[in-house]
Amino acid sequence: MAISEPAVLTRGLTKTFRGRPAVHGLDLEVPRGGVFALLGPNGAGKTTTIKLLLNLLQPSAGEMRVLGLDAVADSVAVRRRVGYQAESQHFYRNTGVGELLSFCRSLYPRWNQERVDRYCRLFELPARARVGGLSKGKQTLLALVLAVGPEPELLLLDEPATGLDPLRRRQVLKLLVEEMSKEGRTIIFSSHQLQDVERIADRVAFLLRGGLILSRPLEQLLAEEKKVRVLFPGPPPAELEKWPGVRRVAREGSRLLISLSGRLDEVLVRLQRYEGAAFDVLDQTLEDIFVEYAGGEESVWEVGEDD
Amino acid sequence: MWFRVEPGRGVPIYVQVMEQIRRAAASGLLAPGEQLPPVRELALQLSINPNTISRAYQELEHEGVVYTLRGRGTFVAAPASTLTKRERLHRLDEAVEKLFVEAYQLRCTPGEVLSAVEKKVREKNGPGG
Amino acid sequence: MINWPLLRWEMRNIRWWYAGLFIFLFIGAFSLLLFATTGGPVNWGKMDFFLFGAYWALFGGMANVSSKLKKGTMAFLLARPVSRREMYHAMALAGGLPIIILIMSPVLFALILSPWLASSMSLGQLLLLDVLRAVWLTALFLLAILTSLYTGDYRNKFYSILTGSFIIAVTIAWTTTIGIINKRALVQWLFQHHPGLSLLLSLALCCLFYYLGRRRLERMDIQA
Repeated sequence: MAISEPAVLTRGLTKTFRGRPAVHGLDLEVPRGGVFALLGPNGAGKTTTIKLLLNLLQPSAGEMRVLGLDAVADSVAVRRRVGYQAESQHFYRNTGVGELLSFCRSLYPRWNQERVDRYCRLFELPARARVGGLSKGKQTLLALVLAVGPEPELLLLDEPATGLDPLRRRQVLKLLVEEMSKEGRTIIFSSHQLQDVERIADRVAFLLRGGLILSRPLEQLLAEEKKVRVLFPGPPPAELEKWPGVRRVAREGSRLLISLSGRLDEVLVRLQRYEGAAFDVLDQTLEDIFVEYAGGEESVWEVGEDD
Repeated sequence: MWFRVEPGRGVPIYVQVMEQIRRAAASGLLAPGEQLPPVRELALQLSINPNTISRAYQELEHEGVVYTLRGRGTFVAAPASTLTKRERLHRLDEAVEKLFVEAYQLRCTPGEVLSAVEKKVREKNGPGG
Repeated sequence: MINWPLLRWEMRNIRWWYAGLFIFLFIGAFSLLLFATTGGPVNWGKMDFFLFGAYWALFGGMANVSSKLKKGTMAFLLARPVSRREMYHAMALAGGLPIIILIMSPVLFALILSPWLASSMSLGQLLLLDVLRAVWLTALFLLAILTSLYTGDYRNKFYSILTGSFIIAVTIAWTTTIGIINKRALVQWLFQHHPGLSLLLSLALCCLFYYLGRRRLERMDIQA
C-alpha cells in the first residue's frame, strides 16, 4: 500500500512568517519515479516548501506526506530516505571534506561509498581539502555528493546548478541522469536554469505566491501551451476569451495574439470558420511559458499593444 | 553517438532526437540493421532524461524507422519496409502541404512549383529514371 | 535519545573549547601543588580556577548553539536523519559534561592529594559542595542554551548581545551568591544551612530549563 503512495503529497500546506504567508494552501502531488521540477519566480515559495518537507520549518497549517509517511511526526524516518541539497549550504568551515563525508556516512543506514568517491574525483573534491577553503561552486557540488551518498529514494535539490560553469553544470546533469536511472528514484529540484529543466524533467510545477498554478508532464505542457497569431478580416469574435483553452488574448496592432492552454485543434477548427482569417501557430519554449505564467495578471487587452 | 540537443528551441527534445536519427537513417549514415545506443547510455551522453530517448525510440519504431528486439536493443530498419502504402502516401501528403505553404508565402506560381519538383525528381533518379 | 556519531561530531567541533578547559584544570592542579608544598590548609571553597573554567565552558556551549543557528550548520544536521531531541542532547552533553567534570575535579584532587594536603573541609563536605556547584552550573548552562535558542537566530543580533550581557550578569550574581565572595547571600545561606533544599531547588531548575530548551528546539523553525 505504502509503495503506491506518491513521493510527496501536500494538502492545504501553509507556512506564514510573522503573519505573511510564504506558502499558501499548497496542494502538491509528486508521483513516484521520475524528475519533478519546481519552477517559479524568486519568493514563490519553492525553498520554503522543500524545507517544510524536511521539517526544518514547521507548517502553520495543512498536511504533508513524504514517501507514504507523515512528514512531521515521522520526520526522522523520512529524512533517512531523503537526500537534500540546500540552495546555499553552510558547512563547518574548518572540517576536511573526508571527515565530513565519513560523519554523514555514519548517520545513514545505507551509503554508497563507491559512488561518492567517484563523484568526488569527478568534481575534484579531495578528501583532505578544507570545506571552508572550497569555492562556492565546489561547496554546492559537495552538498550534492552528500545528498546522493545515502542512495535516497527521494532527492530534494534546491537549485543544484546555481553558480556552476557550463562544464560543471553538465556534469551535475549527468549525475542526475545516473540517479534517475535507478529503479524507483524520485528527484524533485527547483531551478531557474530552464534549459536544464527541459533536458531532464518529466514533470514541471509552477509555484506563484506560495500556491501551485500548474503541474503537468513537461511534454504535455510544451505541446499544449501555444500561441496563435490571428488576423481577422472584420472585428474579432466577441466571445474569443471564453473559447475553450484560451488563457489570454493580447492585441498586436491589428492582429491578436492568443495564448492557449490545450485545445489547439478545437481553436483552429473554430478559426477556420472565419472566412479570410489568417493565423499562425507559435511554439513556446519552457522559458516563454515561465515568463507568461510568472508575469501573472496583466489584464487582458492592455498588454502587447504595439501601435 | 552524438546528437545535437537544443532545449529552448520550442521543439520537444524527443522530436529533435527523432529528426536526427531519421535523417541519418534516410541518408545512409546509419545502415539498416545497425544497433542504436542503449537508452541509458545515450541519455547519459546527451545529459537528458532517459524517458525522452525511450519516447524517441518508440515513436521511431512506430514510424518504422527502427525496430526493437526484446532484450537485445534497438536497430535501424530497412527504409520504409514496414510502412503500408496508405501511410506512405499520407506522410508524403503532409510534406507536400508544407511545400505549398512555403510556395504560397514565396508567391510562386503553380507552374514554378511543379517544375521545381520535376527537376528534383530528375536529379535524384538520374538520367533515364 | 542519544545519537553517538552526532555527539562525537559535536565534541570534535568544539575541541578548542576543551583545550581551554584543560588550561583551567591545569592551573587549578598547579595551584594545589603549590598549596601542598607550602603546607597551608586548602580552602576548597576558594578553588576559583575550576569555577572559571566552568564559566569558560558555559560561554562555549552558548556560543556553539548560537553559531550553529547563525551559520546554518544546525540546518545541515537537521536535514539529515537526526531528531531534534538527539540534537539537543548532543549539544547539552558536548558542552555540559566538561563543566561537570571540571567542577567535580577538586574532589578528585582531594582524593589523590589527601596524604599530603591539609584540607579545610572533610571529603564528604567537599563532595557535597562540588555536586551542588555542578548542578547549579548545569542549570545555568541549560538556561544559556535555552536563551540562545531564542536569540541565536541571525536576525536577532540585538537580542544576542542583550542575552549575552544578561547571562554575564546572572553569572556574576551567581558567583557572588554561590559562596565564594559574598557570604551573606541567599544562595550561600541556603547552601550552607539547607544543602538538601538547595540541591532540590537547583535540580528543579535543571529540569525546567532542560524541558523548555528541548521543547523550544523541537518546535522552532530552522532558518538559514
